[in-house]
Amino acid sequence: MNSLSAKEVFYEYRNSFQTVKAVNGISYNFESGRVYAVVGVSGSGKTTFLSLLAGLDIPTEGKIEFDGNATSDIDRDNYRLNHVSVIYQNFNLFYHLTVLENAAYPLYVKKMPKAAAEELAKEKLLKVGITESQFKRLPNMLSGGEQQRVAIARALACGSEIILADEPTGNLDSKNSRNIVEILKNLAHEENRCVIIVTHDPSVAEAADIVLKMEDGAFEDSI
Amino acid sequence: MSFSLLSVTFKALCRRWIASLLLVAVAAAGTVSAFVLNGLISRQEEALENTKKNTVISCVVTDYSGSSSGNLSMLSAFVEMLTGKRRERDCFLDDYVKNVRAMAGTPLLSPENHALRRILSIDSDPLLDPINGVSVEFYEGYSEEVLQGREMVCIVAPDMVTENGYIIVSPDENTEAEIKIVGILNGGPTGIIYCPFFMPFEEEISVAFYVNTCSFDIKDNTKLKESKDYIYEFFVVPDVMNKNDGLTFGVLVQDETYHKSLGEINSNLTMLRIMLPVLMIICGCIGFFAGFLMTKGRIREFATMRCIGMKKMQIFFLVIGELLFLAAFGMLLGGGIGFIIEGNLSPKAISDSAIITAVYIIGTAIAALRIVRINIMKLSNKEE
Repeated sequence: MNSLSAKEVFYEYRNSFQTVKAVNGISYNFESGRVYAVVGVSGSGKTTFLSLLAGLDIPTEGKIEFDGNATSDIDRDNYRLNHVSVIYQNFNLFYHLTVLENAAYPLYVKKMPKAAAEELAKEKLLKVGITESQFKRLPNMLSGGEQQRVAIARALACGSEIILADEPTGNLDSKNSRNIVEILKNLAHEENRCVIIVTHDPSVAEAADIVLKMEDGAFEDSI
Repeated sequence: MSFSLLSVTFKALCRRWIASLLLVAVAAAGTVSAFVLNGLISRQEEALENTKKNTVISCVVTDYSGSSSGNLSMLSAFVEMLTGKRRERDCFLDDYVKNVRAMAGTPLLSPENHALRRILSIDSDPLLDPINGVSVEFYEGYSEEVLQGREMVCIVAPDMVTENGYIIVSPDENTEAEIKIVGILNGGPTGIIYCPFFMPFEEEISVAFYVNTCSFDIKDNTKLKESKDYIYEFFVVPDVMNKNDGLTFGVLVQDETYHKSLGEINSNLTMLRIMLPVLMIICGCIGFFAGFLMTKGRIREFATMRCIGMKKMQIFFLVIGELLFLAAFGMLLGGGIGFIIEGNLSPKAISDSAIITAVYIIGTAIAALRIVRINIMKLSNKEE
């Protein structure tokens, strides 16, 4: 199984006027089949760390390693397309594409034939509880919980081993939150994926196998 | 880029129909403008050609000072020069002038109270102007051309027509000539016998005589300057300072209206030709702002594409593809509207609208370049 680890990771936001240390020397090894919850106050560097794990940028110092290769040395576009998927609080769906087209989009990018891509996307949508009657709808016609499920289906369709979720329940009511967390837990425990959730929600943190508390850009002792 | 991705991008383009329609409309407007502008330019160019070709530039022969153009007392040799009868003496004025009008009057002893008037054409004498209700009716086998020859023929008022069709004239006591009547003047002056300008009273004997009036037109307006230069080798620009030796005559070239018309058309053409690059610059700017606004509103969408794993240039070309499609559609639409307005598809209009569309696309492409600078680290920003 693929491994994901952080080794002495530092990250600074720089502009002409100031430098802000967002991640301050994190080292950690994430394992497959587990749900990790990263908690901490606003500004503690959770989202920045998640973005580094997603390969959206590279650390200022240290490295994120996937399968023993630093993300700074690999094709990070390919890494995001094939190995890691990110789920955001605001879903980040394509609002002019249907539910089915949204879920199949990464497969179109991978140049999978349209029929096969849509077949796989349908399977993943059904798996997260989206009904067939909703496939042709535009995301705006779905509830927040349903939109988040479409985002998860898109991540699943990619076949990514690593699912990163940034406040996935932030815009949802408690019932929908529970459903989403349940789906993410199943992905880790039944499909052996590594799920890392950044959250403020204690109920989400409680559902995780491992809770990592972040403060000033670094992990405190795991709980 | 896969067909599925292009297909889904096209669908999204249709679903964003208002924005797409605006971009199509801008491209179409550019094309229509190019068509209309080209139509205006070609009409002005046509007007320019017609003005050069059809404008009659009249020249009037005057005395040395320009104070008189009647009763010139100019030797008929000058008219011979103008009509090409002196080419053997290296005078080629007929290469530069046409429609020479000349009139010379000769009093007659007989018939009494009649005058002989030599004319090169009907319009050589203002009294024969159809505007005065005069019409000239030539007998069968004769036409106005007879006035340019040397035949002993004449045109007379109906009351002078004789039974045998001839009229006997005597300009002086020693000369008598029988002239054939070949036409009748209806409603014209009476007491005047009109004959060909160069008609001799005795066959094969030419005589010089004095010319009352003379005028002509420039043969080729495109060679106006060259024509004037040559004319002034034989005539002078009328001026009181000229020598009054009885052999110096002036020519007034009436080309003011011609130059004024040419000036107006050329000024219109210059303005229209300047408008084309201006239109291109405007289209480029509109394209830039359209591209800027389009990409600005879709930053999160592009960032999500990057997050999914699409490469920067892949997204850039996808967006350029969208813009190209909309611009091409707009160009076709604009071409159709332009064709309806102008009624033709000139290659120049097509090439100009293609250039305008290309400039528009370049403008949008420059704006779309911001896609490559998207900071996907900000994708997690919570606000929409």
